[in-house]
Amino acid sequence: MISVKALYHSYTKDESYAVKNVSFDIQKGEIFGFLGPSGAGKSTTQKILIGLISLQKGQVAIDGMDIKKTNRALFDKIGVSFERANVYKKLTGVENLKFFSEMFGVPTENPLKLLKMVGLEDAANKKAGDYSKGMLQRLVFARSMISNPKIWFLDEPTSGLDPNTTSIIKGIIKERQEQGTTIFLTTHNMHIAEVLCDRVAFITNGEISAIDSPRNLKLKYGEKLASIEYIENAILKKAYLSLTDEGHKKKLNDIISSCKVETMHTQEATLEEIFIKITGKELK
Amino acid sequence: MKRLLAIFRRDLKSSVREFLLLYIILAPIVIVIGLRFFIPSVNAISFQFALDKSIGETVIAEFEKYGRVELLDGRKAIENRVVKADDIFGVIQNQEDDYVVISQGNEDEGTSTIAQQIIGNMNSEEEALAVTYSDIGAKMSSITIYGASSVILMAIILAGMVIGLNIIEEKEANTMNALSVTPMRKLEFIVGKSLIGLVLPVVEALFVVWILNLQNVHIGMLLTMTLASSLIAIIFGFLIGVFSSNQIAGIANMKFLLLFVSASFIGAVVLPAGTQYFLYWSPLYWSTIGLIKVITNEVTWLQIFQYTLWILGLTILIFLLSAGKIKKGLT
Repeated sequence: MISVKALYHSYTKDESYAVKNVSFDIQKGEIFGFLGPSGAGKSTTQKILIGLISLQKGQVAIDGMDIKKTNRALFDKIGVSFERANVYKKLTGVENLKFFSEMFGVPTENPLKLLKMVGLEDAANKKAGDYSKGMLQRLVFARSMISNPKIWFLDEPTSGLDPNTTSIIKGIIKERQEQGTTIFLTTHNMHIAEVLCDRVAFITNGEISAIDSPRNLKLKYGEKLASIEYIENAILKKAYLSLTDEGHKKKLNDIISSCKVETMHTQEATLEEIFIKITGKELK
Repeated sequence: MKRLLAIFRRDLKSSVREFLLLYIILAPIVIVIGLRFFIPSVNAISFQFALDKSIGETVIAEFEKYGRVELLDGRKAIENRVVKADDIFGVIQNQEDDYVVISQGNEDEGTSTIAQQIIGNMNSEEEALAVTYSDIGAKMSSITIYGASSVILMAIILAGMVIGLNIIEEKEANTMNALSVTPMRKLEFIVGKSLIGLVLPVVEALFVVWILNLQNVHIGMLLTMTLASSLIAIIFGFLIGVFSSNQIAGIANMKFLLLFVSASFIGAVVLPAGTQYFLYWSPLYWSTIGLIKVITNEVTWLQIFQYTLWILGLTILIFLLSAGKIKKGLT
């Protein structure tokens, strides 16, 4: 559905690349996470894919069409949820959606239905200028579904949302995926990526360092740990011990046999820990 | 077309919901209503007299030379007529050669003695004082002519400003990015945004003509001049929009635009005909000349065509010089 080959982009139009030799393919109905810290090249890549930045070098095909040769009708198939709440503040929520629905050449969703889906039905006739940050984020998210897109670009869709709303948004994303929508998710929230994405790409300094499913990345780079709390000489102690390291395994046996174990859990490395391990950078 | 109208409706809705933009839209109407209250006494070039029926045919005929005459029955009826809102003078005759002029007292200064002068003129065949009357052929007061043309020009320019402020709103909210990922073409965005700059001046020009009761104005010619002039205001609107990062900067840039508009208008009105070629470069000069002639009904279609050609030619030139900046600014 989306094919990117050897993509480069330089804002200064020299050898200083914001995106360097980026290649990936996204299959129909797949949720693909594009993960990286701020300034890694996530937004630049997404902007090239959705046509906000012109393609300088490389090949990009959306729904089988080269983006250099496509016409505006391609945007009937695309939905974009921006991180920044770019809505008309003097229009109400429902007016915002109605206005955008008139821009498309395909049948569109009922604005009120979308607002209800994201929990904004009570604020539908309230001016967007009076919305909170979270409400604006939900309005942008709802707007991105107005044309029932086949390909959906989501940029930090849960940023600034409370846990309950985040859960609703995650549910909508999963539901759309089940209906066959291909989703390109840009985020630095590893938890969201881990829960939602079929595959993720780690990007730092404009380059992709790994692409795989969260499970495969954990199997490949993760380390199984045991987290144990025990009492030794009347003092409560805590340890994280590898289940693959021989020394750690021996120490774990010693603790179990000679100390009073209070709690013990096995745990896998998180996607964030794997990201740090692979890229050497933290997600900020 | 659906997209163009949607953009137009959105801009109009957004504009009337913001005080500054609403004021800009309504300002020409408010000004012309103010002008309407001020114009009647100036415009009352045709004098009105209320004469007693018994005053005699000769006197009535004499007053009819100078204005409209109403014949009423007795002093009381004349007094009742004089106290009404318009400027009208009552005349009754007490006895032969003894006339009484009845006025309300708040008539325009220049017209208050006119009835006395007519009576004086009527009886002055052998007397030293002779009053003669002449006019310079004016059918309309200067305030009506320049007031109406300047308000229509203002409506045209302010509509351009509405476009500019709406573009600034799009830039500030970053909504152009959201529109860029829809099937909407850039040309549709530009034409949709321009519609308000055509519709507002046309509606307001018609309001001006209606409020000022300019019955002899040729509506076709008025709309031709208004629409042609609106094109330059639309370009200015886009330039203000793309060059200004926020509303304050937009308003600051408008001041430069108003300087250009004022210079063109004042120059067209004040400069002697022989030196007006200094202003030929300004499309708004041609707008001013055209609008004034349309309002005074002293223009032919050929002249309208010539003025429109000047305006369009200069507008195209300005467009070619600024198209790159507008395109870049909207990206």
